[in-house]
Amino acid sequence: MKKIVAVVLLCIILLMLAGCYDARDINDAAYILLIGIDRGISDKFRVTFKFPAFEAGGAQGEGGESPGGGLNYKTLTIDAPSFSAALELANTNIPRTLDFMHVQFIVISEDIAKAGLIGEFLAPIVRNSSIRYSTRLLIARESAAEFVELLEPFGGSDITRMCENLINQARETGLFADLTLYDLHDCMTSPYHQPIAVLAAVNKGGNFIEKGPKWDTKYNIPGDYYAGDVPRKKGSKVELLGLAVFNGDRMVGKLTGHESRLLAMAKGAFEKGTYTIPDPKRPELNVDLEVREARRPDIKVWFEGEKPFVSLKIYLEGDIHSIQSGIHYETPEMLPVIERAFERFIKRELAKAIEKTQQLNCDVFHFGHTAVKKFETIQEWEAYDWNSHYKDAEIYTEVDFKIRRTGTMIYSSRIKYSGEDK
Amino acid sequence: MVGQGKFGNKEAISALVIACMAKEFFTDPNMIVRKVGTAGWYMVLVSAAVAALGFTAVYFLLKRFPGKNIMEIYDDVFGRYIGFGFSFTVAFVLLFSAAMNLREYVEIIKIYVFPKTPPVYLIGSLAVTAVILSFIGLENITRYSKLAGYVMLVGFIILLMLSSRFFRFYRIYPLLGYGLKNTLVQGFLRSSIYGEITLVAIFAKSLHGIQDIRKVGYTSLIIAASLMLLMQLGLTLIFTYPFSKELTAPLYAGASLIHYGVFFQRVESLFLFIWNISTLISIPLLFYMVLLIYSYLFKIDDIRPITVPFSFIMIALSLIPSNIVELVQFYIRYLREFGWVVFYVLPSIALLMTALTKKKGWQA
Amino acid sequence: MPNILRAVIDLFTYKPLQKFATEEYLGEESQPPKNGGGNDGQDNASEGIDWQKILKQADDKQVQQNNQGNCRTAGAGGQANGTVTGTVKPTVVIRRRNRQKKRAGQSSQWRGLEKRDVDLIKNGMVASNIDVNMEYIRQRFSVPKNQDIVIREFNVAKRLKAFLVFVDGMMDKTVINQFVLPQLMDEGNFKEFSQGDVMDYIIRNVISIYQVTRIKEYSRIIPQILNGVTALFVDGCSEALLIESRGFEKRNIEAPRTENVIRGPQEGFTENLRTNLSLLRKIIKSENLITEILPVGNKNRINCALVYLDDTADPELVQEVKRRIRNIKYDFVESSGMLEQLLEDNPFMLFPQVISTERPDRAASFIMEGQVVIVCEGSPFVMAVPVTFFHLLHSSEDTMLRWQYGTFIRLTRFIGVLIASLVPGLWMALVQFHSEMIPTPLLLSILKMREAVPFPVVVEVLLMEIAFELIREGGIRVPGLIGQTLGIIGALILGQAAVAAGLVSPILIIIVAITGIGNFVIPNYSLAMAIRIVRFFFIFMGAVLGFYGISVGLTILLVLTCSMKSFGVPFLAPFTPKTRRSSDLILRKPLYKELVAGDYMDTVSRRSGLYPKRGE
Repeated sequence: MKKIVAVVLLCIILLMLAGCYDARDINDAAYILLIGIDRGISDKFRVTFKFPAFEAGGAQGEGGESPGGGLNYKTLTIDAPSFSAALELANTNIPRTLDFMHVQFIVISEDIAKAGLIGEFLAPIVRNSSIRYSTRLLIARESAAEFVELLEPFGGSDITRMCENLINQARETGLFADLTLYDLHDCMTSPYHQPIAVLAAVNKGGNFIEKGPKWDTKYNIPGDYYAGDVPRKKGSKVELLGLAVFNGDRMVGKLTGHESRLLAMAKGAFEKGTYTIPDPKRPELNVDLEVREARRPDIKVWFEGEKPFVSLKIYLEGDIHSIQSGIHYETPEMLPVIERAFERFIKRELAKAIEKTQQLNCDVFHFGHTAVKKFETIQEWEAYDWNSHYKDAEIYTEVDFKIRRTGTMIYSSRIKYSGEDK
Repeated sequence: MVGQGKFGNKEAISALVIACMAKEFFTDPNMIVRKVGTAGWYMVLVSAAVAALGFTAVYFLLKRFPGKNIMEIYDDVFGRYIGFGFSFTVAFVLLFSAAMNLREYVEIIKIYVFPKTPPVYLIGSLAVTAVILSFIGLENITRYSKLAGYVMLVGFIILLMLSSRFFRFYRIYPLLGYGLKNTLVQGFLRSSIYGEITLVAIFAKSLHGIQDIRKVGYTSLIIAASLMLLMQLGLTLIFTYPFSKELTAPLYAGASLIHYGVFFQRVESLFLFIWNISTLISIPLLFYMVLLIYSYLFKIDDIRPITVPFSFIMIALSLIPSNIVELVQFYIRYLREFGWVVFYVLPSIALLMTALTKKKGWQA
Repeated sequence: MPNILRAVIDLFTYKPLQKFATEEYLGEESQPPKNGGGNDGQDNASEGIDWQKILKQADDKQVQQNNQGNCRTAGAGGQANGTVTGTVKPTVVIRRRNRQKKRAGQSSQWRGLEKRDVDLIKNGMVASNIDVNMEYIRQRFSVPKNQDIVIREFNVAKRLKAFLVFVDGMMDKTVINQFVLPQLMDEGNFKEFSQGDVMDYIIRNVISIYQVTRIKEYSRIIPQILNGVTALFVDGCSEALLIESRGFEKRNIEAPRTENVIRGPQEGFTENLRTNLSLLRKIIKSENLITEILPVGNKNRINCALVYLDDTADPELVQEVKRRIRNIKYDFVESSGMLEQLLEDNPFMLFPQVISTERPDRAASFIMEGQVVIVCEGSPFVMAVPVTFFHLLHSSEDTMLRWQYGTFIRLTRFIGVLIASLVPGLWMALVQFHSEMIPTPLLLSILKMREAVPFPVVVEVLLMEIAFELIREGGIRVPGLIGQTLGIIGALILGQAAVAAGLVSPILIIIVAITGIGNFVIPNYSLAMAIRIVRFFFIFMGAVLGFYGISVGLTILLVLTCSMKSFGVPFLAPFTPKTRRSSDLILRKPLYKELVAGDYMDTVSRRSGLYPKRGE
């Protein structure tokens, strides 16, 4: 037993003597929170890093401050031939090792995506064990560097919470999606479907027209914008909206927020969203509906020769949020009127969206997931090459919508005007 | 002979299952996907069926020679010289396999966790552990593996549950992978996934009887097969086959996807404990088996004097592959694809010999 | 040289002339030959007895008495001492040989002594001649140099010479003053005494003491006197009467100091062996409860008692415990703490292999489970063997509470053990190797707080851990109530000041504090100490190789722990190796479902226990 103890001690001493190769004090690293990638001007790529900075010697005033308060962030932009080269160059002026484990977003500019450089650029990133597949990937409409710089915490000082909550809004609205590097990389190599990525942009308020004729009774379909186009002023400087559609690693098109919702519905990933449709009885007024997916859509795929046929049935349910007209829709006879109207609306929009993707020949609706069940072996499946046959597919859609609740009102009383005619 | 102590069935089962599983946590799932595509999850069942046949041969062999371990049986059946050759082959393969698993493990954690640490240092620390554990003895290694086994099982299930959020069922299609025939052939070749089950024949004397050996063997086979099935199925559901073909360590990559809000993400390091501890059990176990066989072959009463020299041999063997590609695509691949010869065919030959020559008189 | 060799051979082959009934605890074969020489064994340990002198003194006295017809008392002792010179110091061995050689010739030359008395006293038996006995006692106790040994001479019924020997302060004065001396001196009590054994008469008719024993061998008389029993020697009797008169100062039964429970009995053991045994008897009223008393310590020979249930405890275990206690070759055993170290299986193992408790109810439950409890004189802690890891985590409160609460507090304790041993190590690993695991907002605030700290994390952690150990150890030394206060205040102020000075980060204070609290959760002091040490081991492993290092550390530590045995029972026994267990490990079941005894200790009647299974 003495011997064992001796060996254990020896082992510990050996470990002690030789160890600590990879030990690194947490304070010796710079934790990159955002990475932005543009096409460079002085070199091939322009890489932007954003990391937190602390005031040194802040310990004395520690007691009063709330932890995490008073953080500010610094950015660094470097032109380099590749990501790894950018890393090294960054370390020539930042006295700390860059650490990518905590990266929240990787932002790639639309330029790069459209030029098909994503695969080229991501190659070193996905091999690097410190960059994680669970990092969110965004496509910035204009400059990724600008986006990274302007992404600041809104209502709080913590940028990570800001990023996380921003992405979580995808679930609340369905106007974009929660997509990571894993999703992109998975889809890029996948024979089942084509990748999508979240569109992001800096909103400069260009669509916010200050003066002009007032908007009439017409209205836009909610979320039918691309990122950066939302007519708004102030607020956070950045926004996420809509999706970029890829063919392989080349970005070929964009979906608006509204189309993203339809996409989510068709994939069964739609959680909640508000729709405004014209009142079937008085089209100049609106009915607001909060829509959820009732159950996963039914997708059927069959082939006639090489030609694929797809039938898609979406099941939705929802609550009435408002009926501007005050018409008493809350009866068994009248509810289906709204339901049918909404079904027609969705079916029309869905068909448009599908047609758009078919023109791009990108199966982002994931019909390939069902199509694959008709194939037995990988050889057959790869020989058929679903992605290139998607554009030939004939797609039938069907929508089923049920209103479940009517909010806090179960009866609509008419608004009384004095001196009414009828 | 060396006193190995006695231990119960659960101890033996957990040790064997851990020994089987530990080597499968790293590059093997990737290799399986590369060979059979989406059919990996039932390929492991094919392998299990083959392994069950192989183990049955071992079991019948042990049953014919109650109270003896496989080395003694080889000697009895083939005589001293051929028996020696057989046992020596097994010992060499086990040592080589231990060394390769060791190297594979070190390569993986070097990629993911310790990029700067020299591999010899990691290999050395594992070898030191193997030496210490061999000093303490098989009995306590198995007891520890029972203790750790439950914890690791829970951890493994938690891991699967957490990553179930990434499961997409379309990924198991096309169901037949690269074709049924390919799957069956690969399943047969890779039946050495469960080869460690036959280690039970080496420490047969530590169990309480032939009934226990049967129970231990088949139970650990079933448990290992279901764990393999779960693991392979889980990975197939998380990564489409072109993706997992790329991943060095798919399981680690799968763990690193886990993401539940700001607070619970990037937890793969936590699951590092499962891989670490299972490797820290399986390699000393294989190592101890080698020592047992060697000390039997050369009539050494105590394994302790040969422990340290053997650890050096193991380290030296593990340093043979010059890079990870060579390691994975040559050494480990052939070790896995031809392991069945050593694990199942040698006992089968012995069984055949006993059946042909001395049909009667061996039932003591 | 050949002489010495022969002397050694003589020593080993020496046999007493007469074979006497040997005392129970010396008669075993396992005793080394040194003690095998019958009753003479005594004089090896204590100071050499000079037979010549004793006999000469006694003989002189006898002759004087014979000559003068009256008794002389005091002078003899002084004379005796005056003549002690020179001859003592050559080795015992050689003196023995001489004695053996001389014996035949010399025994005849004593004038007033009978040959029988000489033989008796030489063999360590009580002689019938009272002067011989008195001289023997004086020599053994070095009276009058030794001043608290009282030899009270008197006459029984004004006729028979007699004396009492006792240790001043160890006995109850009133017993001697009221129930022994007056009655022995009173002539009236002896009116009916005519013929026969005077000792027998005294026992039956004169002394009104509840427990008296007649003993012949000095080897049994002397320890009893040292224990506080009074010995009565009467002229003409070759036996001494041991009168139970023990009554030394002792502490009252108080609430246990170290093992407090909320619900449960509040009395604890004391330093008194008898009291402690009675406390146990009070709980287990079973005729099967066996108490065996064995002396421990070559020189100080304190008593320790083995308590076990005859039908439940494994006989082999009892045998083994007895064997180990008897084979202790250590001069001075002070308390159960030292005894524990002399008994344990493996002194190099970190974890305790014996469980000690201050609570009679806990000790009783150990006994009921088939363990052997060792009660040691002079220590309020009793030990139970064998012990498993799970015993060390239990407290008597667990079973007193309903099973839901019991399970809950046990889980808390288990978590406490994990926290106390692993948290600083994990923190080290986390901060140095796996910083990705820290949630980003937390990481940022840690970074901010650590920005001003000049040390690496290892130094920071070690600094605080060592400071914490200092506070703990210091808290014990500081007298009385201030101690605890100092501990808390010290920790608070030190921590606060260290943070303010920028020496450590606030989060580290939390880590250290949680670790400390986790450690206090552990009910067993020895285990808590072990965990305190293990913690540093894991800090090193974590600092060197991160989670991988901790895995290596865990593996080695746990495999070593698996290999640990306490009196042959593996440390993790009911779990691995699995035995038919009492399910009472970490989770508790409703009482009626719990069997108390498990066969991990191979108890004789497995089903016996406090709470028999329903329907049995």
